[in-house]
Amino acid sequence: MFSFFKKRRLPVLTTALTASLLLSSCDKGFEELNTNPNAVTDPVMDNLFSYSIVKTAGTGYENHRGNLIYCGAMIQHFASLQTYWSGDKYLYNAPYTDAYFETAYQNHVKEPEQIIALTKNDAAMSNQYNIARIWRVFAYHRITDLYGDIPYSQAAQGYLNNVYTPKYDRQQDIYADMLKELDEAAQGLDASKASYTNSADVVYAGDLSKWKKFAYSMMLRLGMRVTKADATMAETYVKKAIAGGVMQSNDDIAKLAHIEGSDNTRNLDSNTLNTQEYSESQYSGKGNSKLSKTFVDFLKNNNDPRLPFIATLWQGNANPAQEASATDPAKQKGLPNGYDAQTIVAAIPGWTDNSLTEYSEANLNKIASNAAPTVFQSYAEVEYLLAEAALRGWGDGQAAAHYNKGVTAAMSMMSLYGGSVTSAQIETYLTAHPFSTGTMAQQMEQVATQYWAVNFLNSYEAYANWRRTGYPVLTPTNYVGNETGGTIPRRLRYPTSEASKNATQYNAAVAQQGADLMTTRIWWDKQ
Amino acid sequence: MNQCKKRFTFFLTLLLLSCGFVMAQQVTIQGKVTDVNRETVPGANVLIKGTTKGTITDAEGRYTITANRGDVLVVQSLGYVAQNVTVGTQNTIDVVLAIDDKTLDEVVVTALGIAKDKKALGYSVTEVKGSDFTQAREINLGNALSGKVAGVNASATATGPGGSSRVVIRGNGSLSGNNQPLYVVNGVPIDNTNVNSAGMWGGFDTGDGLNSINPDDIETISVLKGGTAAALYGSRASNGVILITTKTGKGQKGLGVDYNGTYTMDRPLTYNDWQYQYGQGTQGAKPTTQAEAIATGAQSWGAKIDGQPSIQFDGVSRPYSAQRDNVKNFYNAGGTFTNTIAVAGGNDVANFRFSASNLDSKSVIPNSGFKRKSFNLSANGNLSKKVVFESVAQYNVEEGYNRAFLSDTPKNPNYAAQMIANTVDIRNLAPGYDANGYEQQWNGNVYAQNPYFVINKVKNNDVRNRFLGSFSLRYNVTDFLYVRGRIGTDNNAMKFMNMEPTGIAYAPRGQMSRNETQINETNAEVLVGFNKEFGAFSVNALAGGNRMRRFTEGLGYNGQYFTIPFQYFLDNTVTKTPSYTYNGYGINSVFASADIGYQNVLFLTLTARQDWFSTLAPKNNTLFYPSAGLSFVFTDVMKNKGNWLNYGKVRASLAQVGGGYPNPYALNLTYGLQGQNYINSVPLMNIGTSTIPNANLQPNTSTTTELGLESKLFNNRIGLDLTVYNRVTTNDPVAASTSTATGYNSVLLNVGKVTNKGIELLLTGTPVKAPSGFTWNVSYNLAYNQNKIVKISDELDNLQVDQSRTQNAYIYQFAGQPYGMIAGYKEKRDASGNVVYNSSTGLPIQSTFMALGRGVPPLTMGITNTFNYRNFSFSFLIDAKFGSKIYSATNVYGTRNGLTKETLNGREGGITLTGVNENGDAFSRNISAQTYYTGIASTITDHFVYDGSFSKLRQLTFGYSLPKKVLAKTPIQSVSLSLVARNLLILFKHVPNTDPESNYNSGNGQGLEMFGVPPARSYGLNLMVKF
Repeated sequence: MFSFFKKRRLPVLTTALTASLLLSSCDKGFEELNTNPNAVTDPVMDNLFSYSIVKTAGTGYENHRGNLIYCGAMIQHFASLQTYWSGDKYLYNAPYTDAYFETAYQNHVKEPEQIIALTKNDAAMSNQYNIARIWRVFAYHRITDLYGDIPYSQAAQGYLNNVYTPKYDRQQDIYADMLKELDEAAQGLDASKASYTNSADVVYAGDLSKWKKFAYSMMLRLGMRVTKADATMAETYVKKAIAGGVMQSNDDIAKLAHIEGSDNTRNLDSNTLNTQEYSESQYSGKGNSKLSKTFVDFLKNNNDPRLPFIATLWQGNANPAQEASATDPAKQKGLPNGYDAQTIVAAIPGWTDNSLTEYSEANLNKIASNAAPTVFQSYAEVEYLLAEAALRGWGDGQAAAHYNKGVTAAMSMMSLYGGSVTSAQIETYLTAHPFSTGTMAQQMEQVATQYWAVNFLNSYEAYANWRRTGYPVLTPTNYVGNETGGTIPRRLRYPTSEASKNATQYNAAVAQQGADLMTTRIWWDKQ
Repeated sequence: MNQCKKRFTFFLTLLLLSCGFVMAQQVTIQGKVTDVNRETVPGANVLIKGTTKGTITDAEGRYTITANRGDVLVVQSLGYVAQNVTVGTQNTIDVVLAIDDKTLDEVVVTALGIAKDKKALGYSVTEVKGSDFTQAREINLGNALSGKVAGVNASATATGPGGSSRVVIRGNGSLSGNNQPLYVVNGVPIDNTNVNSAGMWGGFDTGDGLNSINPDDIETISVLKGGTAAALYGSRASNGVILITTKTGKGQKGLGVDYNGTYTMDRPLTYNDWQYQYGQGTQGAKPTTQAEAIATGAQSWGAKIDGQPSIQFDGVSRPYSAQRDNVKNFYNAGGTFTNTIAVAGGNDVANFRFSASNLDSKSVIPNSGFKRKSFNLSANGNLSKKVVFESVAQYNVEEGYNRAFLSDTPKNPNYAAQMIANTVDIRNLAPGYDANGYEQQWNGNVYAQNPYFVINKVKNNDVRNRFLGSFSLRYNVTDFLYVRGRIGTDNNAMKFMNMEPTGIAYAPRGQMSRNETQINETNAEVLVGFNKEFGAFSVNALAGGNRMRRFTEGLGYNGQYFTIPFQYFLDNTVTKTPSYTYNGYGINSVFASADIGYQNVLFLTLTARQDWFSTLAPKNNTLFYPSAGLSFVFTDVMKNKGNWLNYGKVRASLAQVGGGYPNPYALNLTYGLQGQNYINSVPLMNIGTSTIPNANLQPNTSTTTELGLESKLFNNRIGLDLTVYNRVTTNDPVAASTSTATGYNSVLLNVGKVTNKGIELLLTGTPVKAPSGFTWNVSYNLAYNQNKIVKISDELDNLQVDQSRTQNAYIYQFAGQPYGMIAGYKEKRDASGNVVYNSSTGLPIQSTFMALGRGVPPLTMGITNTFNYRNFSFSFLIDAKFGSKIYSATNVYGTRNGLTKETLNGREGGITLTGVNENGDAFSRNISAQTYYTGIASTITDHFVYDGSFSKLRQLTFGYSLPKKVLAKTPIQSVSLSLVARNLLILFKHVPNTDPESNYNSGNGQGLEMFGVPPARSYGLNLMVKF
């Protein structure tokens, strides 16, 4: 056999060749083939954190569907003749109700959960850890406020703990935990330690005292949210929040700045209105949505100085040079909710194809500019909540003062959008609309209505507070084929993907909370 | 390193097994092969029995071969009875072959391109001749396989020309991974990636690797169905292997030229069968304003059609009359022109063949189509007496332009063509844009484009430059031992352009992107082969190794918003986003096989392959794949077999192969950076995957057992080939869909057990063989595949594969059910069977989520009838598929929009629904037809699940060849002219308004249909000339 090899050189050569070919698999090159040259395995916490804030401000998908089309129309900031504006007509549109839930878990909470898991046991990173906890509460409270019982304790643990079918926690448990988290995280912030770099902290540029105020302001928001369901819990946390120290001025607003540029720099609520709803060049004022009559009437009838920065006729959006005349308060008109292109003809005498151009749109040069900041929580809201706390006897008793501060802050806030409301205008407004001396219900209505107004474009919050307080009093619509029997929905339905991919947990949640319908009330909304 | 030592030892053992034998004396034999009519037989195989060594006779029937004294030469050619001649003392052996139209000792191409005697195979291999594809043609080779091979389920997609196909052999084994076979061209695996395809959110299909194969270049296609046949391909073999051997210049003396030209017209095969009693509008009323006409552009819920003037989307009043021909008027442009010319030449030492082909196919949708230029060069030569060089190089330029968007509505012209209100003439939507160039809207949804705007303004383009090469050098060490080295490469360079013009309704500022993707796979293979007889035993063995590397690299630029409107180039966009993707992996393998024959009646085949994967965790990155097969030609040992039994063979085999090895980088969690930073260049980093990684993944294992019987009966007038198989696939690496609340869409898990049991039958017969020369041949194939998901995993009992854009129908794997179930909702019913209604909407409530029917047909068959009489030939193929369901979104939307005939119920007076309400109390309400049908269209899946069974007259050719006498004095050897047709008729189907073969992609989610390009009927002429 060996002589055979001696005789024949070629096979030997070939053998050597083959062998070397095979042995070459032993070299490092083979294993290194499996190293992704386009990714890292060690994350940069700063960058993960910035991502999480930027995406929670909206990816352009869930905020179009959740914030504008559903919440914005249900709360009657917006109105539309289009049937895809399901929130205007209380229709069930599965992809639209699914959007917020699915996007939030994938884009809002996933990175904070990762930061929390990676920094939890690292004492040097306790500030990063605690800020991520505060942010996580912000992300989750919007999901539970929209849907009720949701995956929480087991959510976003797909990689971290191999949970593939997370259970749905009861909303009261979620609220209890979120409030506890805010408390612990706020107390855990330590100015002597490092935090995210100033540039990575795109909300407060590394100012821990502001994060602390935000944590307590969120505690105030969430504590007040549960007044109907658990007044004791509400009182405890409202008091704790006030004691902890909430926002003091518009400098403390929790917001994300924007500039025109890419989808990672611009305001995507605005951009959605700009490109998909109004699209001036194409519709010339006959765009898909308009401001609601309810909202425009409120601003207009009360001579609200914010009106020109919020509303404009389409000419002002099409050409900023025409903004001055197009924002003339006298010309502003809101579209009534709940109609389509056909039914509006009967509702408004003299309606023609051109009528739509006479209705106001959100002002794309000001409040709905692509460079407008996204406000997560405003100082004005905090003052309104403090006014309510005072009315409930949980605060300092200075309801009127808080109301005045709230209105002042809400109007001064126009400067964030390139608008300006003078102190004289504010004075005039407050003189015309002083804090009510009527019943508590009347006072509540006044405060909650202002809360609704200041949360234009943060419709999630406006919708939640309306459900809790019932203010402002909104007249429901009754579009043919609506899902709710002509009542304003109390929640969004769970994604259809949950009914199939997470069927067991979904079914348990439905059994626990009630039918998966838009009329089912969530825990803190129980009558 | 320890592992490497093992690897090396393993290889050496294989090598030594196949070496170390003594040598015998060699002589050179020459001769001529003729038939009983003294006609020369060119292209006949002259093989040394028990080896793979052989040659082919030239144009004059001459051959030269080196053999040993005592060797047996097997001389065979299609249509003749093979003859065995023992090499004695003579140096010249002339052979006269007896004519036989059923050759028993067929030689087929098997794994690694090695030709084997068919009777020695312990498994089922089906060979299809290239000539089956060259007359009535398909652009995609996969589509052309439909109905031709038992056990091969080939389905076309509703993409227009140049789209992808889906070919599945013996059922789907992988829950969500690749289920299509490995394609090997001249021994080299080729890429069959479907780079862009349509999904629930739309998109278009830029085709797969099979579009590159020019049927004129195909010599044969061998379908290696079972595990044993494919086992030498190890981890790549779990779905079977399709071997394509291209033509060469072998046997060609001097120059020969072939021309093949075909022109066909393409027109839609089916048209919507809508209602034409009620016209455009909503709630029983016509539109009264332009805004209403736009809002109801896709709604036929209006008044009774009365022919009176009525305002339309453009503000113009036109008669309110039925428009029955919208589909016919819109899809009117299809046609395909193919021309191929091939030149071949050669002598004793070397030969070549070169072909050039041009295909130009216009879709039924105007301005859309596919073009292919392909060049194929085969060059072979005997460099010395012992060294043989073989090479094939193919270069293709393929271009798809304005491919149709499918499924979801954006940019999809099919939506408007099929859903436009039935009193609006679609041609009035032309040219689709206004005086300013902006889209003219015809309906209220900005995402549902004006179809003429799409065909006139929206652009996409894809160009694929492809080089396929296979180069091998064989050294015949002795007459029984050879060494062969081969390098094969498949290089795909693809460019994509996608543009949404200024003025498109949903993004009026427009956008465009350009992408380039390179896919490259290289295989280097070395093997040592050994053939020898020892008394009654013959041994045919080989051992070798293969090194595979595959890389995909993509570069892209996406530009948003055109600064200067209507100017379409990237620099003119406001926001530009670059992107880059890369992945690479490798598989190293060693393999060996041995065929041992006893007395030429009993054959045993053993194979083994060990694969190492770069994508698995280094500690645990190798797997072993064995197989064994046995074949017994019982008629050769029967003493009294009777006149009716000419040939009989039984076979059995067992094999373990693999598939679905993990993708690169799936072991660890990685983080990615966003291409665009936040303000002030603040970087944004996220978890870079929506799939939860898993460091312990393995490829799946597919174990096949197979039994078969082959027989020729009644003077070879009837042929039978029967196979039963059982294929069990386990440990499938699956991206199992998870709740989105996990933060991810899916998790990688090795899960599942899938069984595919089936039976395959091939019956061939010659019912008529008249002395006048009239013959009638029939070939019938049937396959039944019983498929079951035995288990998914302990944590999961179902798995989502796909979903419809309606978001009310899904494709799921459910434990205990067949593969790929359409799933969704029925009407909820109480214990007594009453429908439960929602008392606020009056509509039926959905049942719980459940399986509604299988998306993949278990029973497939095809029958080909061929008639020949003198210079005429007539042939047709009918195929059929049974037992599957289809969820038709065309019918969902047709019902929602008041177009289906069903929606005529209750137009006057509404529909009275009776049942129970949520609380179980009696319920009865009258609601309008529109409310009812719009409601169930989005909730009751089951209502739109139809029987997907169908049968089609798939192919028809009627040809005439000019008599030789006519051509005698010309340089032309033969001319034939044929009428050809593909997809000529649907013989039966059950789904209304759409073709049952309307899947919009070739993925695993079969059974979903939505606004594809209507499959086309093509018919025309084919001309073949040989010089």
